[in-house]
Amino acid sequence: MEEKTTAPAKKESNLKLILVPALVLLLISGIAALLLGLVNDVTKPVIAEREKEETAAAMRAVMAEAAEFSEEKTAEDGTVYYEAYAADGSLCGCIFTTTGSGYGGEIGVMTGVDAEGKVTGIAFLSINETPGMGMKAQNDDFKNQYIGRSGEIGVNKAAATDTEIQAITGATITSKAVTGAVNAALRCFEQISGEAK
Amino acid sequence: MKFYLALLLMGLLTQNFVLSKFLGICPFLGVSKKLDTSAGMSAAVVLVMVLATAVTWPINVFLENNDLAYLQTIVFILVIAALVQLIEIVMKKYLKPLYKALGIYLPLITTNCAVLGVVLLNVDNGYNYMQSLVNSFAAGLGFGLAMIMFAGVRGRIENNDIPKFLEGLPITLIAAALVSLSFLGFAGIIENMGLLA
Amino acid sequence: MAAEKKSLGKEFTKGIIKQNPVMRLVLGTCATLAVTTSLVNGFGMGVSVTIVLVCSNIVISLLRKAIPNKVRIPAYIVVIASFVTLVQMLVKAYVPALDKSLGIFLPLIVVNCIILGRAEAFAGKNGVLVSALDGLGMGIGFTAACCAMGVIREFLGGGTFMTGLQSLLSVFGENVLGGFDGIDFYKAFPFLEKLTLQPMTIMLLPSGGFFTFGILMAVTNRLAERKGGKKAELNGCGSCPMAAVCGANKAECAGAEKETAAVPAEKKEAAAE
Repeated sequence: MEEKTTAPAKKESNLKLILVPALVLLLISGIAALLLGLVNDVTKPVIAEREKEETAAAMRAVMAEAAEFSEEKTAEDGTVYYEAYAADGSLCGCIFTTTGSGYGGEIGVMTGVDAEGKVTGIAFLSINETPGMGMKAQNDDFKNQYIGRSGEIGVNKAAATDTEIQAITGATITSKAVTGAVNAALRCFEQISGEAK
Repeated sequence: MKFYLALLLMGLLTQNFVLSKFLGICPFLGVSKKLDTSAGMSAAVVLVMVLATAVTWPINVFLENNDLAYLQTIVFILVIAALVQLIEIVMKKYLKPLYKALGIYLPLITTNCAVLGVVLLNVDNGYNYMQSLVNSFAAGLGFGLAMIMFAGVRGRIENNDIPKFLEGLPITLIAAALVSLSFLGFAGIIENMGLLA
Repeated sequence: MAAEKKSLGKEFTKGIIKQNPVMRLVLGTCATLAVTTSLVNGFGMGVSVTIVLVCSNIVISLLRKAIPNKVRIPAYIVVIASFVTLVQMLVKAYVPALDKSLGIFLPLIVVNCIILGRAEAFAGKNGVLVSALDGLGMGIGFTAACCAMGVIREFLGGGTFMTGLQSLLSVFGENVLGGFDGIDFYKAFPFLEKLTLQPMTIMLLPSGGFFTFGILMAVTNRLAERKGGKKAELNGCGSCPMAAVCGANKAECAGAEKETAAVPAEKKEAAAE
């Protein structure tokens, strides 16, 4: 900011003409920063709380039978995941957060995988696709296609098959992006369970 | 390397700033009447975008390390405003011919949402320094492509009979709609080239 | 006194119709086009802009004598950016759904030409009350334009009306207005699908945005002409709030865009009032 104020005033020989605008601007910026800092102190915990709630809700949605979740863990390839435990304390699967590159940017997907390596459900953490097209991925009809699948999932434009899900009409990129994210979660699960054995 | 190519293609075609992200519409509609003005404006935008990214990226690292990320908007816009002024002064003094060509567009760029937009998007997408620079360059080129193409389209419109109620801005906007529609045809090009693997 | 009251009313109402920032002055087009995929989004954007506009107009008008002329633009930018950040934080905390749907266009309110334009053309020269009313009027005009765009695009593009309303109302608690969350005409009238009537998804895409805006602009132009007004025009400098700043370049600027700008003339009027 300072460089901004001195630059146009350079030609003035009078020191006052340079100093006064600079000081006024500094004062305004100072007050603004202070005010924002105060508001930030108020809103920050609210935002953090809300994000936590959202994550928790998504985790419950992708794995209904789980009662408790571990702290955030990081797999070797950098994927963030959580371990899920059933009410009796036994490990019932893992929940992964992966991303795919969609039409409107990155799509954040949360995938629940049970102990046998089957998908228990998916949820979106962030999605910004075209309304009416890619956004249809949020419909249960699309999301539920993944449940019970394992291995490498493909995408088919016409109809769902044993190894492929049916793409959303007119939004193949989104469908592929979501499937890619789910596949990444499944691969990560293989890797983790491989290590455990 | 593949990723840089993908960024370039995204900025130019599939995620064109003007035609699919709606950033920088004011200059797109306002300064695209003639080819030379639109080329000048585009060149100035590319220059400012890349320089603004070069400056704001390190600043953002500083902000995030100090838990001041909430000041992003205010700091970025001030840095861009100061930077534009600085470029103008330096150009006026040392690069007279360039100043004559681009100078008049520079003050307009401060309030061009494409510049602030690209800086914010780089941060949002978590690009590293090099990726941010390439992305900004690509976004600027995409802006230029849209501007220059549209200048041609407008030239054609002016020599035609237009329904009276569409004369002026309405027909310009409808032409923009058609240009934007044609860019939809590039959807999926990056995925199909396997650049985002 | 009576004359003053009348002009207060005039300052308030001019932004809504006569000098509607979007339809007549062609300002803030980016936001208008980008977020109006639904009525709720358009309304949310409009309200955010209105809040920033009114607050920044008040503060700038209060500070107009304290801010040295030389640094007025950076000072205005600081004030505007602070209010934008403020709104951004509040929206993130209390209306997260709106934050998600507006995305990057929420911080980009900073560079919405309407706000800097009003600061430069009006608030920097006028009293607090008038400036606040001017901001409110302009804000309402902007909101109205966004809502109009949103309604048309949402209805034609998705066959819905006011979807996502609850996410906007979540500030006031759950199930306000009896949990009304908009109408999905395809769910309400299943025969539509049997008629193979598909919604025009294109209206939700960028090109649909340009198209809707073009048609709306044609309609408002027509209405304005009937009332004896001018067509809305967009000139390189005319609609730019920075026009006054690049004063040295004015001649060149006018040369670059030869037509005389209709918009600055209006702006000068506004300043003179």
